[in-house]
Amino acid sequence: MNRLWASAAWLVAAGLAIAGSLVTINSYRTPYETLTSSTWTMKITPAVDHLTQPWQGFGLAVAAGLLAVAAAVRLSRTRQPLSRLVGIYGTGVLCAVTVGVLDWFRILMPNDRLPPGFVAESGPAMWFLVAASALAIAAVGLSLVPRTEQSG
Amino acid sequence: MTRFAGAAWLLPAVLAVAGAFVPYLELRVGNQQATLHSARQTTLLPGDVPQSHFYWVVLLAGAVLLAVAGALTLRGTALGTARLIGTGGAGLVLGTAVVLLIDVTRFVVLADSAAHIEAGTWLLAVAALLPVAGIALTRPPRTPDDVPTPPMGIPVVRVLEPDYEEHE
Repeated sequence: MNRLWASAAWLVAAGLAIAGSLVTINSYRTPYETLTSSTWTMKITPAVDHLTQPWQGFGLAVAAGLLAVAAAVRLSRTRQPLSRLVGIYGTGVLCAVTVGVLDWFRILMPNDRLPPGFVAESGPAMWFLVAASALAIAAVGLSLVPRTEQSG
Repeated sequence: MTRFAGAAWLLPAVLAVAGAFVPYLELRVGNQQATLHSARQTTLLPGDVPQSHFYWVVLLAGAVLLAVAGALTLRGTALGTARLIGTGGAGLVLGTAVVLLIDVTRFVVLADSAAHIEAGTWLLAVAALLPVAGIALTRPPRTPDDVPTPPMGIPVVRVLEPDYEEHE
């Protein structure tokens, strides 16, 4: 049963990581324009030609891929130790990238240094990523619990 | 083999600690330094307040896990545990390295000749890759690691039929 729970938790964590990479992390409104950011893109309204893109979503995609592989291998009932290793590796990557995104988010939200008329609002991305990291860590705990199987 | 495996954990631990403090990117305007980026802080133009970062905390956490894995591996005890702990540390270092290398790539693409890759980039790249060797080299002895507990917790002893040689 732990195998199923750990797999499910890693799969949901992977989904949350991907979702967190796509949804808005914050928006920054000035009297003249609005800047909306996710871990992949930054958009300014009205649009400008050349705008740097954050690309932080790449790290989250790597972590989500590792967690998905770990879940799939674990569900296959074979190579359990391999699944555990890949899952722990992916969880480490996810936690580190989440801290990296959190660091970037902190810089994007300088509420104490905003001039009058400038508003910074946070989006749901950080919550998704923190939930994904917590769930992945819980799955590591489940994967380390020894398996017990009772016959009918 | 144990020594190689231990080194494959301990060396990236040292490199990750170094990479947490050594600058990984410098931006120059003309011949003058504009910003200096490290996992601990971004130093802006002289006189400005540096922007602090969290990355170094994660790198140190990863380095501690890698060092524990290295110590356990060199002692030759609990190799399975060493591999699990080291893998967690390897993930933390890889994740941070990916975030910082993305930062480097962005600046190199955007700022072109103004961006100068510093030693920290190479330290982190090696620290991120080397633990894979540790994972591969640390092989716990084959034990019934994931063999399910039998019904009622009592192992069933399978008695094999003896091989009888037919004598005339």
